[in-house]
Amino acid sequence: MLKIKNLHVSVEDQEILKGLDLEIGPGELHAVMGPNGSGKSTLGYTLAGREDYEITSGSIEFDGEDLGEMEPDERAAAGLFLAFQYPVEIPGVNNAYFLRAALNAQRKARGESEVDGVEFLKMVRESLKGLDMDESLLKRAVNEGFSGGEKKRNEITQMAVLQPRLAILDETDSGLDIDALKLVAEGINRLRDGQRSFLVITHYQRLLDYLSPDHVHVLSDGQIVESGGPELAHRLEEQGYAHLERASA
Amino acid sequence: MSALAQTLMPEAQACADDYEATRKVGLQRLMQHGFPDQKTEAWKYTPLRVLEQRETQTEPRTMGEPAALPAWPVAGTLLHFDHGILQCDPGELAEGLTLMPADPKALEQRDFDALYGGREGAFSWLNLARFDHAWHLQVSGEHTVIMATTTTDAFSADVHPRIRIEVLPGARLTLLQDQTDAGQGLVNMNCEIDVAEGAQVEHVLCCKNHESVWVQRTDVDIHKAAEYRVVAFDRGGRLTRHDLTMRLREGTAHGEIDGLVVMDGHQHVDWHTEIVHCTGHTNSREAFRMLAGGTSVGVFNGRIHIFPDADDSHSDLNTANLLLSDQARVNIKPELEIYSEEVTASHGATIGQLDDRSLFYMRSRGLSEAESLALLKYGFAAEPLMQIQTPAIRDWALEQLKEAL
Amino acid sequence: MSETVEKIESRLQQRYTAGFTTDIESDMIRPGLDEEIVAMISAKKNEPEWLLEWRLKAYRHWLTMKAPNWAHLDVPAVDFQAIHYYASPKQKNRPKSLDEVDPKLLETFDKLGVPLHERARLAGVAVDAVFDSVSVGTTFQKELEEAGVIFCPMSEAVQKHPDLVRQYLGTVVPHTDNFFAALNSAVFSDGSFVYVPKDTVCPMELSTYFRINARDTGQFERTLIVAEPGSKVSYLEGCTAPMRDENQLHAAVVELVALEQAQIKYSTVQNWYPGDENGKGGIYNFVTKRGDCRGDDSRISWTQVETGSAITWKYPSCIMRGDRSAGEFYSVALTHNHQQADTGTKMIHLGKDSTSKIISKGISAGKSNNSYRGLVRVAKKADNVRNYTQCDSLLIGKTCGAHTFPYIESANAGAKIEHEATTSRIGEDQLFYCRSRGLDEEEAVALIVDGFCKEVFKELPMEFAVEAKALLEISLEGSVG
Repeated sequence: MLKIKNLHVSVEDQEILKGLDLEIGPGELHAVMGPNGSGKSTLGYTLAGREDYEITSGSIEFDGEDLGEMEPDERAAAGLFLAFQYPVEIPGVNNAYFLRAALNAQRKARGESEVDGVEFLKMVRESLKGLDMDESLLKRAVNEGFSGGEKKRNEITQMAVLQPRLAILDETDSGLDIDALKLVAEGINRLRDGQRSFLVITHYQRLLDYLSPDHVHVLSDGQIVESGGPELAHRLEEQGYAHLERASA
Repeated sequence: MSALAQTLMPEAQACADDYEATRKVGLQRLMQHGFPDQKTEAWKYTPLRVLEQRETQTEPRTMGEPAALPAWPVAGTLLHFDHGILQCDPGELAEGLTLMPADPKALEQRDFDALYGGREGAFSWLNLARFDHAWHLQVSGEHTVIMATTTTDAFSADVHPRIRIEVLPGARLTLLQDQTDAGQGLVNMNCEIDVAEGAQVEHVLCCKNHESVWVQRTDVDIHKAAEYRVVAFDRGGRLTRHDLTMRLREGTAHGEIDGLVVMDGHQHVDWHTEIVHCTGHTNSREAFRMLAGGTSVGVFNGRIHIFPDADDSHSDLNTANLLLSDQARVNIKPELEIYSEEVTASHGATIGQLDDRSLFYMRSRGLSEAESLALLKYGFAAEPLMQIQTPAIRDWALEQLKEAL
Repeated sequence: MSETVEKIESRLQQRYTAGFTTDIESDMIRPGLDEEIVAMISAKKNEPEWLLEWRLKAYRHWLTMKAPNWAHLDVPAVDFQAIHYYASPKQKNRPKSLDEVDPKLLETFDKLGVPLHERARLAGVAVDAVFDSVSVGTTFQKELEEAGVIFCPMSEAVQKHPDLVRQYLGTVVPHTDNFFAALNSAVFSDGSFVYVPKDTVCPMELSTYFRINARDTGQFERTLIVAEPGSKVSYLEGCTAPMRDENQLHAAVVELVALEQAQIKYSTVQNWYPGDENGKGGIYNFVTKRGDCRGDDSRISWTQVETGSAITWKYPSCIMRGDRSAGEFYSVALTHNHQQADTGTKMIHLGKDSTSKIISKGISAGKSNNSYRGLVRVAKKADNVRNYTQCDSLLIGKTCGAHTFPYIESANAGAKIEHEATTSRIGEDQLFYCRSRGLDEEEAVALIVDGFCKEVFKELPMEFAVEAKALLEISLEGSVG
């Protein structure tokens, strides 16, 4: 589904990713772990197509298409979703309106019919219930005045409604207490259907306890330096990242 | 400038009626002070070239059928000024509304110097010198009044409507002011609103101007335990200037201003607002936003003025502005003039553009660049309109905003 | 609370410690202003023909101008024909070294805390001392010369470096700029000239100390600082005057030119005589200061601590002409009694990616009025400009005023401009908190005011930050018990 080959990415002329390789198949859940500054968030933003994240060499293929050539909204329509580490507040734009507009824009781009208000509300309500989210959040502006946990759960709600084919979760666990963490993990697990793929970017192993990843990768200084199964996450938790930093220093 | 005075103040204008003495004061002050130029601080960003180049007719004023009126979202008593002339039979108003000519003696006794000042108030002096009728509306009980101002394509005159709205103690007024123009004249309007003890006013001012020059002054006095809230939604015009002054006259008076200006093309819009805390224990706030596209020029001057001994006064003003094109300009001047110690007064001002991060966030959810920009603009612009308390008017205004963007 | 206000108020009735007069014979030209006076000043200084012409042109232009009236100030009419435009302490010849300077003059500067003789000089700070219309001496001349830095009185620069002066004089503040700049251009007496060569970091702080002494005189100094590409200099000025019942006029012009990658830091501690508690006397401080970030990546920073003068009209400004150039303005203005201040800055963005920052702290007490007036302008071609402005006002007492008049003009859709302003008083809760921790009221007020000004003080060179803080504390002290 996703094939990243020898990816080099620069931000403001500074190289952050330095030859990253990663392949994710249908239905798989991959975790990328690594210390601060290793390039985790850069990977997420690059996949979603943020401006200023310049691919200097290498390639990203998503379902056989060159992702680097696509606009952010085209990527979304193709089924890619990034849950932001810091979801953006958009004053004045109604949360529910935004989500419905996004859903219909994607459906339109795929040649599907638009979803009407009643149907949409049903979809959202279902997602909210599982996340223990108050419906009043729908009436507020996108992420405005939301607590850290509410923002993260709002991202998962969007994911549940938009039904992406590949979801990238950028440190979705950061800033969540244990109860919220469980709810978010359940939200993710509900969407695992054997076809949908996930890339979970995280600093800590604790979210992975609830997700049972198929593969775990260690990112350090812009490269994947080690890959393995879930046991790798546990080892990192015990050893920390210090040995990696020494090695790259 | 004398040419402008010549056009707008012909010697041979005289309505022999009871207001002669008042008009004389207006004329005398106008001649004494003259029209503003760009050295006049309050007009430094708004040149009057457009007006100078025009030849407006003062007499005779030929009019055909009044301009057609749009549909409004609320039912109310209609005061329709067409070409500056009120199309209304005072006898037909709802109970609790009294419309009458202003008392000439009361006008003569007013201290207009304190209100209009010198050259900066030239258009107010002009209105005083040239008004046809001075109306006085009294409101008691609970009412919705729609005050519409229109002109037709043939309009090339200069008109000076004048009205004072007195909201009596305990009354509740929803005032929807909807104004537009056609033709190429000058509308120079003067409106006074007096909110008596315990009265409440919700004022929604919608204007969409075209080629006429529009100058408007609104003076609001708010008394004890009274509340006045205005939301202005201005969709620009060739050259428009609004002066809105809100005076908190007595303790526990409360006033709020929310404003939105959406400009495009080669429009020029100038808003001057002033909040005056004449006494203590008064609260006010203001939020004003401008979106400037095309080659438009937006001017916003927002002043908070707190008198000596007006302790326990609180005021905050916030203005945010978006430049949407390389050719647009925005000039803003928030001001604080504070003479009392036990107060809080603050203002914040920003000029910028739509946020890149928000744009990316929206696009990553599947919205196209154009859709995202439109939604962001709408989100930015909708906030002041969300302050409209009457739901039907609010929804109507938001619909108009969608149309405008 | 009123008792607290009274206490603070009485503390503000500071004694002006710089108010003494030096009894020294003065060489004054007749009062009044005409072309002959302009020529006399020029002749006194033995100036070249071009400079006399320059002055006369400015004078003729001045005649066509009117004093500005747009500031939030009540300025009594100034009789420009009653002023002596030139006064210098009588000395036979200009002293060749500090040893030849009249001991009375040295003593004056000693008393003001600016010792000039070698044994007592401030370490690491070169000082040029200006007494009325002339410079009486400059310290550390030799050390600076070795570094290639020129630091001398303007009158000396005209003689020794005429080409440099001619190249830059009036290029930042033209004589047509405003009424007081035109007046200064016609009659300027002395001031400092600084030239820092390419890639040179000036080895020490440069400082000028201005002293008005003679009666009925005005002081019209002119300062010019040129920083060549890659150079760096920090300059500080201080000012005082005797206590006199009459008002005296100070109309200076300061021009800064920063070329590519050059940095100029200009700090002022202004303590001109503010007049007495009834508003009698004091200096009218009408000053034009402007820096031109002429080269790419250049930086100019103004820091001012304004506690003196009866009336202050002053807007140290930056023109960000170069791409990526930066301007900064940090200001503390304290007014009390009948003082009036209308001060702020102008940040004119012409270059791409240029930035500016404004931090202004106004403190009003007594019957004073204190206004911030600032302009941020972004030109059409200046892409990607950033500005941040913060103006805070503190009111002490019920009879003063604090005002904010920012002008913000943007003609470029890529500019990001942020302005914030607040007005408040010293909170009772703040005072109470400090007192409950053991500070007396006086200490508490001093502490709170110091905290209020911290952001600005930290921009001052270390030696002067201490001085500025002390100056404010003097203002907040004096009525114990």
